[in-house]
Amino acid sequence: MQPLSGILAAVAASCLLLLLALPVGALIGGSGARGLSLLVTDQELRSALLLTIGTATSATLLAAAGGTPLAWLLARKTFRGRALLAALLDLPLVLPHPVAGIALLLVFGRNSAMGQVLLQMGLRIVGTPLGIICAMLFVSAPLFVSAARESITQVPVRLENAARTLGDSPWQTWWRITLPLSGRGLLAAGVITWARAVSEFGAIVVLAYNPKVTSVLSYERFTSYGLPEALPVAAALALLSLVPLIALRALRSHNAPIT
Amino acid sequence: MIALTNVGVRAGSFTLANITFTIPSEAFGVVVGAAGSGKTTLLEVIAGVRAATSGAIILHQHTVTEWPPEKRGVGLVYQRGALFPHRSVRDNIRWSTKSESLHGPLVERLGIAALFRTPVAELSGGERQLVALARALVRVRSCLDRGEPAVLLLDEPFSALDPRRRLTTRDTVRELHRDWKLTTLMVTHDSADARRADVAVLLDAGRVVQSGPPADMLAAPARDDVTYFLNGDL
Repeated sequence: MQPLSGILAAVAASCLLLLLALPVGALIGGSGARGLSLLVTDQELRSALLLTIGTATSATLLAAAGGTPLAWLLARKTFRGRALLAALLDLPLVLPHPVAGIALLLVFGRNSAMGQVLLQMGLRIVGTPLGIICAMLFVSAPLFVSAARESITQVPVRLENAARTLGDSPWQTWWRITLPLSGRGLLAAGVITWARAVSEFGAIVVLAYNPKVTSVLSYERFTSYGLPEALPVAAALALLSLVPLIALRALRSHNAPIT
Repeated sequence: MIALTNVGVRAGSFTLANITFTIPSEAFGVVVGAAGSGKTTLLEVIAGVRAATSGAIILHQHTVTEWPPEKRGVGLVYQRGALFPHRSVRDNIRWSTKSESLHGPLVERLGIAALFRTPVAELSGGERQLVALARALVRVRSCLDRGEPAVLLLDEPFSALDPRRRLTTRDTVRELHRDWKLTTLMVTHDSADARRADVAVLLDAGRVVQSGPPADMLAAPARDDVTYFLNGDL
């Protein structure tokens, strides 16, 4: 019985691995080289890739700036409404992404109160890189908070306590103990956030179809010109997405438990 | 002086309640009790890293109940050291002050100079305790040198040391306590340590069973287990 269950488990695992690896492998193997060569000749693809990298990086930095204090709060403090805050942070993860885009449009659209205020301040969200950053931030920041919280939780509280009794203020304790010991985890959280932002499509397409990020460009070429034109763009995006994946693997391979 | 009056603490589902005792200035106090009775939590609330939910904590004439840990002038040694793993042994010891004149003699006295180049992760349990002790003593000494009062809080600081090292380190701590005129409170399971103390506090399930000079407690024990914790008698 045991060898049979082992074989079944191996078959199931292999099927899953194939399902995950085959499409990406076929995409990169089949069109990766052409995608890379298009980077030289296709101005629109180059602009879309640069826009994707720029907006995803901005969204990640904003997620880190706002998400790190939230992650610390959730990891270290007990307060009324903590569960509600955690649920609110998880909400964007369960929303279908076009719905997230519609929700963002409701808040930042030209006809909304917030949109009006921002317009008066000279900030247009819909159809601008700012809108892309908003959409990316909305869908990826919860991932940052969740991963950062996990990383901070792994730093033993006693080390922070010891530092406080040795004369460190709360800020000094953060800089000298918590941040260095959770730094690798925070960096990994940033990589996950960046990868999620790069791959976002649903919310962006509603809030800021133009200027086009790579995922939107890939979709547009597919619907307008068919698969052959969409493949190199999709392959370029897949290659870009591999960069954080490799970075994440490298970070995790150096992670040692804190004792 | 360490004085607690009706101090209450909540730590998850565990509570310390109505904790009241006094360790006079320059006295050596011990906290004894079964595992899980709240001894470490008690040290943490005195150090200020855990908030008291009620009552008052006085350290050297100052009511410090609301003070942050860094203002209390406390050196705290956790049982497992709580050394900072991302920094060297030397950095750990120099954490509160960079003054060589302060930590040099202490390092020599505790016999841990050879550990300076050893990564923290490679230290044995006993070595960790010695480094943590040196780190806390440096903190206490630097407070005293600034004219600030200081107290030393020790959570089973010798438990991982070999018997010979335990005796010499215990004597060193006793000498420093006397020479520096410290007020010290030590959690211990060693009845020999408990009997030598000026004041003992017996905790059980988050309550003080009895406190006072060990001889007085043994002469009039509040419960049968007082003699067990102070004399080691079963």
